[in-house]
Amino acid sequence: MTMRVYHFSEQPYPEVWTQPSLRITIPNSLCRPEEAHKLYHRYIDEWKLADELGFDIMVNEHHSTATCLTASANLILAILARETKKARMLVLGVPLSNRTDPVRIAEEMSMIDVISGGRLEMGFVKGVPYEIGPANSNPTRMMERLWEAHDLIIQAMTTHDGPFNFEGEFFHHRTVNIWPRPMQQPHPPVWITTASAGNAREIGGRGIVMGSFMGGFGETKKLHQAYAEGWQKAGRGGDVPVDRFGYLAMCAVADNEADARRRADLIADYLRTNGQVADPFNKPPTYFPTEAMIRSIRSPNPRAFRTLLTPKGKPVELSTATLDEFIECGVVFAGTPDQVYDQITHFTDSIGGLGHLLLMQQGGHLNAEDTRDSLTLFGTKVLPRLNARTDSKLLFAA
Amino acid sequence: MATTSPSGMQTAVLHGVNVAFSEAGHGQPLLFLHPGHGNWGDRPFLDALAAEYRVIAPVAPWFGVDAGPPNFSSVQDLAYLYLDLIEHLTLDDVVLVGSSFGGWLAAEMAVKSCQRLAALALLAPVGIKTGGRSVRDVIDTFGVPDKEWQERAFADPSFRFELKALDDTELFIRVRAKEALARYAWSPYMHNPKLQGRLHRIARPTLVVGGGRDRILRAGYPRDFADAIPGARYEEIAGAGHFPHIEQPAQIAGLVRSFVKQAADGAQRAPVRERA
Repeated sequence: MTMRVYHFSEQPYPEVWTQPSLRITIPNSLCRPEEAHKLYHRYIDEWKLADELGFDIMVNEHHSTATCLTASANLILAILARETKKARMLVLGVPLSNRTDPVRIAEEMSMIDVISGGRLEMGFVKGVPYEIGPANSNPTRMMERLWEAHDLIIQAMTTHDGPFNFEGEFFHHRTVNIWPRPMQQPHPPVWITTASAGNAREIGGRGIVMGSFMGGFGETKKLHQAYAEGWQKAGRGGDVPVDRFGYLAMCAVADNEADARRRADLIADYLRTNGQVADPFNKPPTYFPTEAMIRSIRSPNPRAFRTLLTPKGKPVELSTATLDEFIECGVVFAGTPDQVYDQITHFTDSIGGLGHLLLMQQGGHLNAEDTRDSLTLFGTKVLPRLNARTDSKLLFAA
Repeated sequence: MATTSPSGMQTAVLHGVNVAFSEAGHGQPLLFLHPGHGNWGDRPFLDALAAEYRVIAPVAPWFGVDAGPPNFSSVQDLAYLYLDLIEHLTLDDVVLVGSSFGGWLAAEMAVKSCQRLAALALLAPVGIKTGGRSVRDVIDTFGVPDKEWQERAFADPSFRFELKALDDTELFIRVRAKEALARYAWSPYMHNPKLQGRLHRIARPTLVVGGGRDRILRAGYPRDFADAIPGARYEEIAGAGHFPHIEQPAQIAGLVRSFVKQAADGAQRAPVRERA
């Protein structure tokens, strides 16, 4: 088994990124539909290229924002199910806590799985804090809603003598009987993302694939350890197969280091713009623990996003980090094909092995020419070497 | 039975749910229900009332330091809990006073049962929807920065403060109050679509107070609220913001006292409606 590598873009709309708030309150008078039309087709073509080069593909969704034109991940996935041929198609994910109808999600996911010939990787997320406003979903008890919606979706996909009845605390259906049923049996692989050890233990207990984003060396390994604790406690065995873990980073390749760094720096604006959210939509009540809210109110930099430690113990705030700091943390891989190969293998070996490497290879102002060149270099000069590795760790030793 | 903590707060256990409340004064019972930011700033008003009444002021579950019942998610849970509290303490002829979110709770209690109530005073209450569907009757508490919220809430700038200036416990309670408010009032936002059609059931003299400089509520909203309750009296305090009981505690306590007295006198002479 080799590590799978994914191409990911949020489909950004960067021409208005000078606005103070890029989310929630940015009026759509600033969106030119003609420009959005061009961008959608460009990004779809980049995913097609990735498919041809042997990558898997990843999509996500955000709302009311110029950082991400994918307002519906399932719509783009439906297009890609037809436009691509081989790639596994990961949505990471559908914001389950913000959706009122899990049965509809089960139907859409099954359609995508069938159209794509069984290539769907079915990711569910709680959703980032600033998704609460556009969805108007109650920020209290989000994880409880997420798990109940998850259970209903799985039951809908795996019940074949329906209709069945579902009367939970949050969702109510008397006649669930989805058509079509998914092609992958018993259902497409389930992913859930988290950044907290508590959730990681719960996900590990269920044996679901866990995605984590930009946590670098230290945070990622901690999450994987927490997952392994839940895995073992549930009696799933000792070591965890590394295909239970996905990790998202940013990546740019070029035939010379200077160009690669220029490209990576543009993609990294994805993180630097993360704080550009109108207050207080970035911190809805109960989304973060009360103690963390108090620290944030007392903080001199309330827009701080996330602080990581480099392997040498230096703190790096992701909303203001330099490219070198991102690389040091394991949040960005950038350089020539050889450099990127070395950075990636060093990272994955350091954290104890990895099954799915999710790479944002297009972000911010990175144009089509740079994106395609970077993808092609990775696909022809890095991917074959990663696929040929015989010494990768297959089990995470807890 | 109620137990008393060193802070002077008592706790009643009602069917497994803990309710903390303060108690001061003697006389006719008066139940005060705090607004959505918790019980911050209530004390001068409660002290003024305690000269005449036995003032009982609960802190709603999830608004304090302790976690509340996990399944509490609606104002209905609180309304029934407080009706239970009144019965538990065997209070009769209760003057029910609520500010903003607490005014909503008071109205929800009264439409369920007025049996143990004498009169109501709703201070800039929320809880019904009278503007059009694209009109905000209540500013989006969860969508404006705290600084703007305070500017809209308090007419007198001396009542505004930096969150950072609060000590850790005060700040914790402030943050927790917003979390609790989200739990109870997120959607439908700050109202129960069914409440307005039930307000006719409030068969007790009711005073609705609006602040002339309240910029949390849409101008005209408190009067709409009064108009929806048969026979209710509306008083507007010209210089007050959204929390008249915090900015003008003595004046509002006096207003409540005289209203309750007049209502009692009126009830002895000629009850407008039959008392339940």
